[in-house]
Parts: sequence; structure tokens; C-alpha cells
Amino acid sequence: MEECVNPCRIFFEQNAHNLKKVEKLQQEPDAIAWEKLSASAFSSGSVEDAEHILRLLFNPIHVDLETRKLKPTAVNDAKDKGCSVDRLKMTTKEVCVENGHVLAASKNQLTSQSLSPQRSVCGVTTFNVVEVRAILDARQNQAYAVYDTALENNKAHADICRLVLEKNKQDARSVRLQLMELGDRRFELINKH
Amino acid sequence: MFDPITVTSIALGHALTRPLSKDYGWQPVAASTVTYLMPTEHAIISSRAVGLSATKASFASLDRLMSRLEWLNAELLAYQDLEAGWDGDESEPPKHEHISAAASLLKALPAGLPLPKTMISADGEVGLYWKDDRWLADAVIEDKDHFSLFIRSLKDGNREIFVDSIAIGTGASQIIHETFAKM
Repeated sequence: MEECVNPCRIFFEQNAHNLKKVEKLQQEPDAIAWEKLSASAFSSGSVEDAEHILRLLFNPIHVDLETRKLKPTAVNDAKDKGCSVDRLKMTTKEVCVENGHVLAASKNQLTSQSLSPQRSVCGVTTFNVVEVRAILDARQNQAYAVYDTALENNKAHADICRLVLEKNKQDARSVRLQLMELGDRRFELINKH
Repeated sequence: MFDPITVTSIALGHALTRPLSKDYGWQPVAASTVTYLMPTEHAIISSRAVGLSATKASFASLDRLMSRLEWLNAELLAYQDLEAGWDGDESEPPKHEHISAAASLLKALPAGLPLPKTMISADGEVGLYWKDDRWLADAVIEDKDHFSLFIRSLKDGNREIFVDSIAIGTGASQIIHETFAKM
């Protein structure tokens, strides 16, 4: 039997290493409908509204350490490469944090000669998917989509992608602050490993 | 760290460069909440310098604290050290002229408006932001001479205002004041 064409999976496979893939996604008229399709051959299925997703933060520069709250820039990658998250129905916070420490250590080895700050897991937050999808721009359009971008070595991986174009400056700024607000509700700092 | 004359100059300079404007409902934090090496809303100034006879406990130690404005400027200055790859493989360092513009913007903020926080994104965007129970707002540096201001009310039906391409200069204070006053 012929396999059905899945445009969502085709898009994400073709743009797997594209650090501006969200900007391409914003040009796709069916980007919201694609949330119901699977984006990866390694995924067990699309991300449902009722799910919870976890976001690790690797750089304390995106945290206001005085108030222990997120800065708007903590979720900025949702506009270009995708805001990486893990699906908590497939993993746990503890596993995510441990994997994050391993990832940070391997990245730091590659940049040990750099003056820039070393990476470490400095915070974690969780989002309700339905709340992320409920963020609207000024024209009442859905601002963010969540896709099951599972990886071979991380089946729980997903991405939050902003659907608002960068040239719509007011909307872009509005939905960034709204996503930050959501993330702030359950944000917690993590002590250095 | 500073002698009393320098400290007084900083405090007076701060007051003079932030023109009086609307009361935005901001209340300064109590001196007792100031902790070691944490930024404070208070300018650093001794009790003697302002002619008060407050007890020592009411004033921050001159050599252990910096004003919040100095703290914010120091944060912006620290951004200059960021190199390509500072926040992931593809991240970009900020332009130094954008950091200078943000520092100039800090000086132009109207009095009465709470001081903002600083922010920098992986693509090198530099800005300031405000967050309290009334609004979310940010000011993003667009180029070395301009910034844009966005405010979202949290109390008035999520009303929003966006002002693009504001010149960083003498008129900026008034525009910021008028924009916040509309919320």
C-alpha cells in the first residue's frame, strides 16, 4: 500500500539542520494544520493539547537573578531555529536535567578556549501545550505551534515555533512577552552541576 | 569606592538627567531590603551628603553597593565581552554601538518610571524591559540611533502600544513618558 504523503514530516526532515527553519515555516499556509501531523519518523505521534512540555535553560544571562524570573530573550529561539522542549509524557524532569548537563559539558569542551560564558543547566520551566497554542497575536491568530520533532537519540524532543513574522514587529514583541510570562509561572533555577 | 563628593555628584547627576514626570505609582524599596552587592533603587549617597541625621543602618555602605543605574550599565558593558557562539553555535555577539545606544537610552528614561532590566538575545539584539503587575514592556535597540518601544497592559484588556523608530536623544524621554502614560 502506498504511504500517505506527510508534508509536515517532509518539511522538518528537509530543514533538520536549518537554523532559520521557523522563518521558512512561517511561509507555509498549513503550518497550524501540520500540528496534527507527525514531524519526525522517530516520534510516537503529534503533540496533543493536554501535554506538558519542559524547557531547559542553559544560559543565566536570560534570567533575572534578582527576581529569579525569565527574561524575554529566554524564548527567543522560537522565532528562528525553534524553541527546544521535551514532552513530559515521554520523559521526566530529572532525566531532562541530567541529559542537559551532559550536553552542556560536551559543548563546553568544544569552546573551552572561548571568552564567552560556559554553558550549564541553570533553570527549567514547563508549559501546558494548550496554553502555548492559545497565545494570539493582535489579529487573533494563533502565534505559536508545537511540533513533535523527535530525534533518534531523544524521542521526547519537540519544538515551539513562532508563526508570527518578524516584520510584524508589534505582534512579534507581544507574543514573545506572552510566552515569557507563561514560562515564568513554573520557572525554577537549578544549582550548578 | 567613591569619595562623598563623587557619590553626591553621581546622585545629583542621576536626578538631573532623569527629568521629573508623571508618578507611575512606583515606590522605592525600603533600605532594609538592600543586600550585599545587590542593585538598589536608591542612588548611593551618604546621610551627611543630604543633610540628614539618619542612623547608619538606614543607608547603604558606600563601598559595598552600587546604584541600580550603575548596575544596569555594568550589565550592558559586560555584554561587550560576548563572542560569536556565546549562546549556542549560531549566536551572534551584540554590536558595541547598540550597547552604547542602550546605555544612552537608560539615561533618557523619565523620572518616576521604574528602572528596567537589561536583555540580550542570541541574535545580538540588545534591549531593556519592564515587568510588573500592570504591564509588560520592552525597548529594543533598532540601530545606533533608534529604538522601538512596546507596552502591553496587564490590567486594561491586554491593550498594547507600539512605537517604532524613536530617536535616542533629547526627545526620547518625553515619548517614553507619554507612551507609558497612555497605558
